Amino acid sequence: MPATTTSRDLRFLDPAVIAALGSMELKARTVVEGFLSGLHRSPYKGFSVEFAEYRQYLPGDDLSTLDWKVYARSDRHYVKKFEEETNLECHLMLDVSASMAYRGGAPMSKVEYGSVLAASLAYLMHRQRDATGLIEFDDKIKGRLPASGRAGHLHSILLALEKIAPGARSNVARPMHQLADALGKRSLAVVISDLLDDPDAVVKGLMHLRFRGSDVIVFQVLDPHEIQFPFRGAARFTDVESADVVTADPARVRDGYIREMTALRWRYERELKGAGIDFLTLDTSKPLDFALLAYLDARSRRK
Amino acid sequence: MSFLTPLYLAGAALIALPIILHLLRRDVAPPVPFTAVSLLRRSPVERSRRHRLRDLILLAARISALVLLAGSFARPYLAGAPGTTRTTVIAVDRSFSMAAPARFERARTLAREAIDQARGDRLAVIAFDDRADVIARPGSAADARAALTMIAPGFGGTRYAAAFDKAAELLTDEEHGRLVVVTDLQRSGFDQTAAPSTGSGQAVLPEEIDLSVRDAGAETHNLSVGNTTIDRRQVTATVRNHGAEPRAADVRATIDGRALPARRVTIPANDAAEVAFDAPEGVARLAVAVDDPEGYVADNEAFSVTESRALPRILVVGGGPAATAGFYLTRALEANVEGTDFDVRAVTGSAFAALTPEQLRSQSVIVLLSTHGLDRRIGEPLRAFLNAGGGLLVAAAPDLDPSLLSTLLGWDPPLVPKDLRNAGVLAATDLRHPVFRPFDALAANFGQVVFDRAWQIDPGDGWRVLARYTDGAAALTERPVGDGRVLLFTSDLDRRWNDFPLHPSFVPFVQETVRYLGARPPAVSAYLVADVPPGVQPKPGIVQAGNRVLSINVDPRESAIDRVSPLEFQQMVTRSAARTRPRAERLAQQIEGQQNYWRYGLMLMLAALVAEAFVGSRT
Repeated sequence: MPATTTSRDLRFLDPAVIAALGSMELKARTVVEGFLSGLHRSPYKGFSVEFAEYRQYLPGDDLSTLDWKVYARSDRHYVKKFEEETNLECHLMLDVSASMAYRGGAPMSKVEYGSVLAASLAYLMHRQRDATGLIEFDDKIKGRLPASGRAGHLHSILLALEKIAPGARSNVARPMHQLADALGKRSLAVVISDLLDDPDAVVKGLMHLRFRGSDVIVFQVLDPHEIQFPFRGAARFTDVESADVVTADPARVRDGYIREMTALRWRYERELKGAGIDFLTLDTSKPLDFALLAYLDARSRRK
Repeated sequence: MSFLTPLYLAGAALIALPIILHLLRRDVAPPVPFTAVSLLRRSPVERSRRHRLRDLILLAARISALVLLAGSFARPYLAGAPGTTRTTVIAVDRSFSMAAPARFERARTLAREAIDQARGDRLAVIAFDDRADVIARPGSAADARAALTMIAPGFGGTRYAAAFDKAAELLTDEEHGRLVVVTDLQRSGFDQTAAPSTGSGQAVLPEEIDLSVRDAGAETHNLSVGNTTIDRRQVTATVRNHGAEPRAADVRATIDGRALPARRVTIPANDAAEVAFDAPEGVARLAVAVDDPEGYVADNEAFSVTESRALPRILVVGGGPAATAGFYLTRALEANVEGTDFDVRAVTGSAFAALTPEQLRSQSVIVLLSTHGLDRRIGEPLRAFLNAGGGLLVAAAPDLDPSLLSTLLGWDPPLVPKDLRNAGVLAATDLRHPVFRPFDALAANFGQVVFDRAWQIDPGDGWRVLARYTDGAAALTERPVGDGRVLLFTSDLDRRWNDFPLHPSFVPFVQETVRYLGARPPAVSAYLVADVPPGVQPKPGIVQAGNRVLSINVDPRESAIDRVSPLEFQQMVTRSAARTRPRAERLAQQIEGQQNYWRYGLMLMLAALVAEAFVGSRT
């Protein structure tokens, strides 16, 4: 049964399952394979051609290449492309600031979740023969692996992701401005960050990136505690980056906080989408498939 | 601001408690690492500030409550507010001598002058005679003047000691208080033989009180009536002339509301004359008055009453027919040339047992000659009769059961007499005893009585022996029971065991015995104004108080017109330096007691706690 199959495969996208896995490569492979098997197992069984990628359906495409399962899950039409040569340059930009090390109510911290996402994307990109690079940043660029499509490059990226250590306080805008000129015009920038920074500066930085010709996908990674603020009892909330302290009774401030957080997300979504930047908020307690679908969506639009 | 008990202020250290709790409460909130603190701060910050403000208000309310509690217990007062000005006490003599013509008006004038002269002082007014009363507590001159109008001469005698004691009480906390005595300076006011209601009678004044005297008196003469007596056919009164000139005056007597013809008498200077009026027998009320409009009016009349005393009621309880039992005893009690002194009634045992407790209480003495017809039921009222002061004479007789008697009277050990034959004659052991005292040398006549038979009792069982037989056995013994007493005559009174009723000593013996058993303390019916019993108005005259008629007269010492000079007055006052408590402490207590700031402190504390509860309940 397709539904059963999908459900079973989605298990491998569960952060709790992924967090228990060993190496980053294994995590990435588990995520991607699980994702892909859920996407296109039965309709293409028997085809000898190697699956290469998905892209959104465009008028004129062969309807037999439509993946109805994806349509059922995402309400969008995707067609499968097989062994198609690509020359996309993807840059995975992972925020490794101190706030990304936060883990509240999820199996993984935000930076771990972001790493798995980055690794999964790298794995997927590698399978699509795209040139993939990795940029780690907090308030500046901390590490960079240039984009490459070589066979051993994926291993380097996964290795780098495994060794990530949280850094200082974040300044998303500054690395964006630095990278805007460095990236190629036909490149795809995938920014993975909590974006808990000055929204004006963040939007400016990302728009700079976008206006230099790069396609930009922004994954805002948030812990469920940051979204729902489920704390109980008076507490001194200490900012992990600024050491700023606010003593508050969560019961009293919860509504206001959630309102503020929702407003921030809406603002990002509104302003970034207005600038042609894909924006998706990811809950670290939720599976990664939405992130991968979002990537595929963006990737297909590059074609 | 000073404090009466400053040690309680240490309790204010408790304010550290809410402060510490307040600080601890901040630490109690655990640190929680978080990322979006800036979002948290942005909108909820207003609420947090409100929360902090609420905490501060709560903290302030709690601290205030504790400080006010400690402050209230420390009894705060403002030193130096009242009490810094001097207090002058005006003591006005209101004894009946002040009622002499124009005397009291002069006293009022002098008192007003004293008030005017004490400008700036706090003024108190007291009125005194045998006792002193505060008419106006220390206050304004207007209050003092108003108080003067409320004073009028009464019927008491002058006792300066009463005024001094009251003034010293009022000026307890004054460093240099002042006492102005407005009086007619009667020497008798220093008489130390005080009436029972007044104090020691000695005129003592603390030395720090400045004493001045205003003389409201004048040389005068006075006639007074005193020492009125009622005899069988005559009433007499002593009229005294306190002046230096002989005086002639009419003396009038009123007996039982009927006026007798007045008698004119001349009394030498500083002497007294006894005036007698013929009167019928049985005068109950007497009033004797002398005409002396120029002297002291209150002592122009004296009063006297005779106490109507009912005859002692004697109940003789015999065993057989009442006519024979106690025959000799009854006749002996009724024997009197001038009429009987006793109301004697003879009853049988069964009739006695039927008496109600009220009927029993109305008896003075019960003579028990037989227990025939008695039962245990009479025991309790009989004991109650004795406990209330009644008398019981028990005479041994063939009809008297000693064990029943012991049971009735609750004697333990019970009376166990032995039969005694040929006891001999009787001899008084204690001639000073009221029963034998009237006999004096004639007590030897008891030796003529031969006692053939008697009881022999053990005197050790609570009995006091008053007379013995010649063989040494007790003849008459006494035993107290409650307020009453029991006399036990160990032989017969009906001429069965002896020939005592045939002897001349029998009648006086039984009369004195019964008189002794029925004796009651004499009731007082004559009072001075200062000593009237509670509920009786202190005013001369004859008054009915309950079932008694009382005569009330003025203190005769007040009738004397001897005066002292103001200088002598000052010299006759004993000055004392006795002040038991430190002045500052007493002053502080007085001031604090007047201000009572602690009450306001506690009310504010309550308000702080209410505010704390109100703010604390708001979320």
